[in-house]
Amino acid sequence: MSVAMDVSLFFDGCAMKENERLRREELHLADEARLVAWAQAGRMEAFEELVRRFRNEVYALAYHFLRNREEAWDTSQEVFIKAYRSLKQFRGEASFKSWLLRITANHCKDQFKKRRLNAVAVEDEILMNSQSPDPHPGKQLESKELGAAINLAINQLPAKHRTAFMLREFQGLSYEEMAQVMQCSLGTVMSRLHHARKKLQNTLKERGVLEELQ
Amino acid sequence: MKTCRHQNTVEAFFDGEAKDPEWVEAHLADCAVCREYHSLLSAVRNGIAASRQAPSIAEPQFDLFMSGIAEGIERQPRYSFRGLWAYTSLVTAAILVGLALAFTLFPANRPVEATEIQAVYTDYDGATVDWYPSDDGSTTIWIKTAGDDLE
Ligand SMILES: [Zn+2]
Repeated sequence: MSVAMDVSLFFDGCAMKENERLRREELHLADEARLVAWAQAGRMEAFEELVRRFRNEVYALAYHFLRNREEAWDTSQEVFIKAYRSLKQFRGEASFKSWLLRITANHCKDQFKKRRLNAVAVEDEILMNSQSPDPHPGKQLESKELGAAINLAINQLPAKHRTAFMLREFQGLSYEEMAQVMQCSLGTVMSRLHHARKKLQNTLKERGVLEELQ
Repeated sequence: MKTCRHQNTVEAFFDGEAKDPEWVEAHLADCAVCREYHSLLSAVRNGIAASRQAPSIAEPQFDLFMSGIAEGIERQPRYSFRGLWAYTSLVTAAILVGLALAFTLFPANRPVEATEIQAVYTDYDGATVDWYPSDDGSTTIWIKTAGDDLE
């Protein structure tokens, strides 16, 4: 092979790397609407960027529903697979994040129906807490117990109320975003949230946890 | 537990969504019931915050996470087994009903002019079956499965 050819291949390689870098930068800088449009047009790398951006929202919501990291991981992957297959149906009426969280909530609700949450879920939460170093061990034990009690109470809520509570308290969504995810009015969001909180308080009171909290 | 008719408004205030936050602040100063409710809301939120960490998929795990999605997109059939099963059983039910009616209504040596479907049912939750006869004697059977909802 001649030297001229080697040099040419070297420059081709550099050009490809540069193109790749530019392409990644373009994806990284693109806004949500553009990425969705590209993904809808079949650009897989645009969909991958959307997964990168929203993976933690989807994973956190799945985890808060299922209380198990492995299941949440698998569920999140299934949510994105489902989203990819349904991309054409997304028309941008709600934000892409709301749309994804809606798919997640529906998917988790189905799984939740299949197996009612039990002690395993809380064990996962406690195990997670026990792995993190804590400068105040006494306080940690107390908050762990409270956390377990709150989680048990949340698991007893009806699906609609539980979803509303989780979207607000765990995901920090606004009422408007919650309405998009649950496809209901703002009034219904407030009503579901109110019922969830009231039921939660009653359960915590019955278990004698409220005094601990106050 | 005592209640006040303004607890909904206090909740909206607590969530940063009150239309008139100043009014709620003034009400909280006057109403012991709502003050107690507000402190309960805070206590539950603090209890949640103290007892959990938000799990996340770290950047080094992303490739593994994405490869599972890419595999799923490539491998998974367009319709899930559950959906396929539902479709198959619905179509089978529709065909059986059609054939049963054809044999009942039209004896063996009489030409069959058309198959009239009088009823189709399914025990698949939320699915509907409609049919539309046309002038040329054929019938379109339209099967819809339940959509997602949070009900
Ligand atoms: Zn009041």
